Amino acid sequence: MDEQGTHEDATPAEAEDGAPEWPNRGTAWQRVSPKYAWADLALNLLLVGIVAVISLAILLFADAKPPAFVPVGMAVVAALLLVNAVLAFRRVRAIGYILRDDDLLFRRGIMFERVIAVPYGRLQMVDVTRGPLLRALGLATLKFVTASATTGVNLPGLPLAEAESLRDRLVDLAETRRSGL
Amino acid sequence: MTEAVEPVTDEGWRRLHPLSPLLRGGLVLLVVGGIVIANLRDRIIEFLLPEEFVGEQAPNESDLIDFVVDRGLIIIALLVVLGAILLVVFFSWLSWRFHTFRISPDAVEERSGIVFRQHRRAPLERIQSVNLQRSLLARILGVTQVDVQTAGQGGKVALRYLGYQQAKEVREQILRASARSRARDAGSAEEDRRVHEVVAAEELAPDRLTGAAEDFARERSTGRAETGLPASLDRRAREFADLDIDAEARRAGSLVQVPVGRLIGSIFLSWDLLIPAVLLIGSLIAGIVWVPYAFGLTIPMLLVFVGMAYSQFNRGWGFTLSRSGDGVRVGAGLTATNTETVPLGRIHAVEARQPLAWRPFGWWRVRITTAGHSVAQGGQNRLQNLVLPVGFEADVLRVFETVLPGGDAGSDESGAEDRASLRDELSGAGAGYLGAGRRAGWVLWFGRRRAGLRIADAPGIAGESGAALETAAAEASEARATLRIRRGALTRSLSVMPLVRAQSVQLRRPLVHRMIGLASVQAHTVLGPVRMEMRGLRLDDARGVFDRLAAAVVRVQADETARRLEERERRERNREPR
Repeated sequence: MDEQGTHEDATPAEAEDGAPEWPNRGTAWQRVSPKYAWADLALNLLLVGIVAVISLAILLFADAKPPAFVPVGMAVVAALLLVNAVLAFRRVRAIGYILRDDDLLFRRGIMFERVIAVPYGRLQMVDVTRGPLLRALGLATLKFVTASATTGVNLPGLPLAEAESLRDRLVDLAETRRSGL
Repeated sequence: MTEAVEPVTDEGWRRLHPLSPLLRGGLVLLVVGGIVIANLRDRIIEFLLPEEFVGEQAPNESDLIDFVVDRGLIIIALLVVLGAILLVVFFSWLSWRFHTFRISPDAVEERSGIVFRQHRRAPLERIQSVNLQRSLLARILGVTQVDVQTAGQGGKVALRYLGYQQAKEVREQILRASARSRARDAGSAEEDRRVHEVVAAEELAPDRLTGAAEDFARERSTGRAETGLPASLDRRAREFADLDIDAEARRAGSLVQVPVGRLIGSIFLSWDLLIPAVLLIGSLIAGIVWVPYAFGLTIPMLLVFVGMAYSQFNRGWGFTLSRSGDGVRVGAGLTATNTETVPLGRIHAVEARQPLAWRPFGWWRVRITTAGHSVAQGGQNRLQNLVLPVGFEADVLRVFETVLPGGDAGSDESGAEDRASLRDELSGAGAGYLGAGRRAGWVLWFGRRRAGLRIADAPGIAGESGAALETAAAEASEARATLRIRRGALTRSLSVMPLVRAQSVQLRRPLVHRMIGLASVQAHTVLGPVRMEMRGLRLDDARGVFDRLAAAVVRVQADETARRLEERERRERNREPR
């Protein structure tokens, strides 16, 4: 696999448009539904709202006038959370997966990028879960469980039908390639 | 007292040791006794000492005993107490009667309860280790707790308690049955062969159990001849001090032990104790030259210090590691002892560590990750995955050979080669390792120099994925292919994981790594102390490693699956003509 060592570094621009040539080697990443971004955004905005309300309450009802850094700090936190919330679209676009011949390749994250390869034989369980928010959007989350707690792969925001067919397919693959613990 | 294993029903259910309820209820008994003694303390002192030492005491109106004596109810009170004791004894006896276990062809099962029946089951093919635990009290009474650990959450069958001798026999039976079931379902040729040997041995000497029970059989026969009290006491004493080493391993000399001197030295030179020691001295000095209040910190720190030193000492005392027939056996303990037997092939990762202060002495510590352990199982009696508390390089080599699959498969020549390369990996330059990136000092600090990663003995990956290797070669590659990671400056380490055990492979780029063009590669294993992660790789290197590792893992695991299927088919074919 020496040729792998020679390919160009993925530039930030490539990473930005979400299609670096590594490690998929030309195969396009399967994406999750863009609708999922709205769920992500809603949850994050909710968080921003809660923080804002708490900070305002503290500022309004505090007896003594707090030192200057307190409101500034709160504003910074709220602003960061807001930026984080708005990045939802970008974040959801960064989630991708590929069913390779022998393993499932999965990636997510923009700031804290992770790429994971899970051999099919190691999948112990594939779960489809749906929260109320996702259900309203007609989506589902696919959870993968291996014997390792740190693998922690879940694929949020797949359309329900796709999630179920993917689950069935993965369970089949896992069954045929099952290896011992 | 005979400790023969006697089936109580035709289905092979057996009872526990008759002293079990006493020990299980031991804590309650102690608490009750404590309360009683605390209440009667004054009375006893009064009874034992002349009046003038006790002095005048106001009559205690609410004293129950005075009340009972005054009303002439003493007989009734005694009867009530007696009745309560009888009731407790009766129910203990009843629960003992109903508490049974058995080793069936596919599981270890435990039944208990009278009204609410409870049935626990540990499937043989999922057994991760079998432990013999003996607390001090249990050792004095000559009984043992047998823990059967299985993979998965809360999967544990604990047989409390069995006679020591019986416990050893039960362990042998469980391990043998487990090996047999694995060979039957999906086992390797090696296991198969070993099982056949064991079975053959059994047929030759039907009443004699293998290995561990051997030397006791001799003792039992002498004990039976005399049947006097001294003989049984002598046996009890010998059981108390028994290190539980496999008889065969003792004969073959394949044994790792830790002398007391080295153990004590290693404890005081480990980071766990050096740091509290520095703090302790700091607080002393601060107390002398600065503010006396600082002395207040000294005492709790001293307690922590002594506590840690003692628990480490207790855990490492009398440490032995040996290869028994079906697994690796590790035992240790000063007051309470624990012997853990891990079947071969259940070890997911091994790590040797060397704190800075150990380096002049050339000491190492070795820990393993097995599927049976979880963080929830704390308890001071656990060995906590330690397979070598402290040892020289030669010991580490021996432990690695014992613990890793295929470690002893090679001939003498290749064995010597392996040993040389392992030595180089432990404390040498680490030839063949892929080092960290140029700017990795930002994330690895002084560890940058040592940090390195190697995929060892991996089967060919590129073009030949279609062409199946010969079975023997595939088997060797499957057993031997490992991921090896060197790390550390203040604590040097070498971690090794067989590729067959990898759960998944990950490439990660946290913020700092990303800023300076680095990445981190990790292989996920089951929960345990060994972390297979290499940080600070150059991005290109990391991507290459990720691809190679993912491909090798898939390849090795596919080989394993294919070989197992083939084995099974072959076995079934062989079975048919008979």
